Amino acid sequence: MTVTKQESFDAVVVGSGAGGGFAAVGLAEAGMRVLLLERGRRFDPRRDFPMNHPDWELHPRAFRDTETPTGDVTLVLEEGALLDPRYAHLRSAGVRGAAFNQGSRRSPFRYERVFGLGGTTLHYQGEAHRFPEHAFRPASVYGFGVDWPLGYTDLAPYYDRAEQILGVAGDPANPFKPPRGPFPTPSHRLSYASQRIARGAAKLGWQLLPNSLALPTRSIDGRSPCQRSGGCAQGCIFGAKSSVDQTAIRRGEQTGRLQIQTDSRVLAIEMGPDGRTDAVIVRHGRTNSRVRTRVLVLATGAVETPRLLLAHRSARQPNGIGNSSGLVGQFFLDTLLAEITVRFDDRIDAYKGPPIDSRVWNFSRPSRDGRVRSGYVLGVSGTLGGFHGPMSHALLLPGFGRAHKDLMRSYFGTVVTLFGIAEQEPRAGNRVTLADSKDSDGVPLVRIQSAHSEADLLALDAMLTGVKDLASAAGAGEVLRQVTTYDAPAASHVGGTCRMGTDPRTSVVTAYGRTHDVPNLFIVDASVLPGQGAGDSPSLTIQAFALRAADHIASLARRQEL
Amino acid sequence: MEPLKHILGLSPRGPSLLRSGRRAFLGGLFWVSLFSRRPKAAFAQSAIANPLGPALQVALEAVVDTIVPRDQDPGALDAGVPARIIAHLSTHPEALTLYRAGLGVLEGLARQAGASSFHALGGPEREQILSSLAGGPDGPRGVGAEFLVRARRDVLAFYWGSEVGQHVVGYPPPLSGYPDYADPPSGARSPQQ
Repeated sequence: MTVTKQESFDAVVVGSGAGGGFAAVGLAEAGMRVLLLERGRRFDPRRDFPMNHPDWELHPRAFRDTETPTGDVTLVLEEGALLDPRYAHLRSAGVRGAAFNQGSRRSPFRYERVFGLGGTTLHYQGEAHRFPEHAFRPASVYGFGVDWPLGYTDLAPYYDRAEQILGVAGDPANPFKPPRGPFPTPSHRLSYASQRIARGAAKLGWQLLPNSLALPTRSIDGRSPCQRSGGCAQGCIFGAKSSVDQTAIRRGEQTGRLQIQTDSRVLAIEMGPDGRTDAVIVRHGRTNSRVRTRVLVLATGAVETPRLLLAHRSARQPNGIGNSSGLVGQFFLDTLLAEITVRFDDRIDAYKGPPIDSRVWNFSRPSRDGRVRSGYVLGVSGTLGGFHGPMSHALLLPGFGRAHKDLMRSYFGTVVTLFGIAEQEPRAGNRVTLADSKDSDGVPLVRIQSAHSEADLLALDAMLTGVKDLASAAGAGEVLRQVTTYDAPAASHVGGTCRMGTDPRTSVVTAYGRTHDVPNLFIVDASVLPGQGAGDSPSLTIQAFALRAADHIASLARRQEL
Repeated sequence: MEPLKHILGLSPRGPSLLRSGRRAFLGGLFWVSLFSRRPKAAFAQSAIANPLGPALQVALEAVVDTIVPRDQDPGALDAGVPARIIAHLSTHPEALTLYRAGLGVLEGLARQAGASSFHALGGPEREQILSSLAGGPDGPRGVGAEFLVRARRDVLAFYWGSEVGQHVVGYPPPLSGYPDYADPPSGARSPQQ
């Protein structure tokens, strides 16, 4: 490998998503000189996203993922685990009951990620959840999963700080969340579609509550407030969504100590003779450069981070970097999701408004009735489920010709998706490992193994029952589509592959993200999360964790203990 | 991908035209007048050579018109869909091969049915022949079936992804956001209903 250039920084952060962006701003504001490396490009919301065009559904997605034909592939796609026939009713099916997967195994796992400054927050829906207190101690309280080495109170001040940076909109009166003060911006009103579903929830004795969202209802830092376009997943054309590029990274740049380098992929981590990381080798175009650093912070996600660590084996690290426990890549957490898309017999125009503007938290505590399963949260979305604009409806509705056109006129604007997300039971057999084949940069591809436990299947079953009950109570009729991760894996809330803990034998990093093995190597992405917050979205917890880790790193640096 | 039998498994139940449909109808008058001559004009002004040739172009227009016909609202011909498909075919040789083969199969089936061409058939007969491709003589994986899947996808996407299609179902694109997101949409039932 030819290296043409050398630079040196106090800290190098790899990956600019929820964890990396927030670690970078935390370190820069603490006075450190930071380089933030991002594999993708920087996007301009005013021109780079499909919704900048009226016929946006005909414009390609702005973000690259594993399915783009660029050769830039992460995964070896292979058949998944055997399906448990006792839960065959969980199979995914499209309009008119067409099964997505007619086989006896789960579909290949597809890891959809985003290359670009801001990472996955470029396409996330802005959900900004504090995990409930019990989610940090599920093993002690419920006998489910594993306890975290930190609790809610450890993260609370960093949740506050992250919410301020993001301008989170929410209602502090949520009875299912820890007591708190006002959110930085007021809650969104419920969309009309959610108002309709809320009536059904009330009939069941449940509460459909406004979601807490990184979609500010007032201008923050001179940005536009949320315009309720429903376009979060395509890239917010208003720059209103508080993706990390619009918030933490801009803030970090204002310190004058944060340098951003996009289109740059880390190919190798170099270790010094003292067992510390010394430098990274970065490819930018066809040029490789060496960047020296006092501290290295990895934030490339629950698949890429273990991939990077496992790929660098040597005599001193025969299992890869930071992997004396053998747990790098283990305890992979899939996403437990069950959703149905249903139809009302009148217009509800669910495509208008924040994409996931309401949630039911009544079931966020794990079950204790002898059949242990995770807690879960239900939600309402006008854009999940594949139905969004007219084109997506047309392609999903069956047939063609006159009848299809009639179907479009009667169905469009009448559908909404109800979904539930739970927490997968962590198991060592669910894991990310390296494959024999390599990508164009010579980095090994990964294989993902993920099977469901009984607890996982119980959670999927409970969520599917829940969303069907909710739809029925709200007066929805036809179920157009049912999708569950029983047979169709999803990658939106993955984690667990470099889990945090106090014991170096059973964890990879400390409660500050510091690897047990390498004193100046930190991890601040979803891979450190030992659990999934009972179905809440992980971004805000990752951001709070990254700010906490950054404080810790800065403190160590000041004390010359790095 | 959904199996063909389900893509084509449309039940024969009639439409339930909602208030959105009435709104679309009024708007549709405007769109029909705006786009009714567009296909020919589009070809005349286009610098793209037509890779299908005149006979297959006529067949393509008949297919497009069958997949999204004009009724009280503009159809795919009115929205200029043939020109968009031809522009695509001019840069995608594999798709061009499939379209040529598929249109050829359709012409053959039309002649077997006693017509001079697919274009010469009436709407219901065209729909019947086009549907028959799914389980046609060369089977569900044959060229006819593959063509049907591809043509259906292309025509539906170009039509319903266009501003013409958006207008038909009363969908305002999100360029200005939706400040009315919490209000009952036109066509919503009142809470008492």
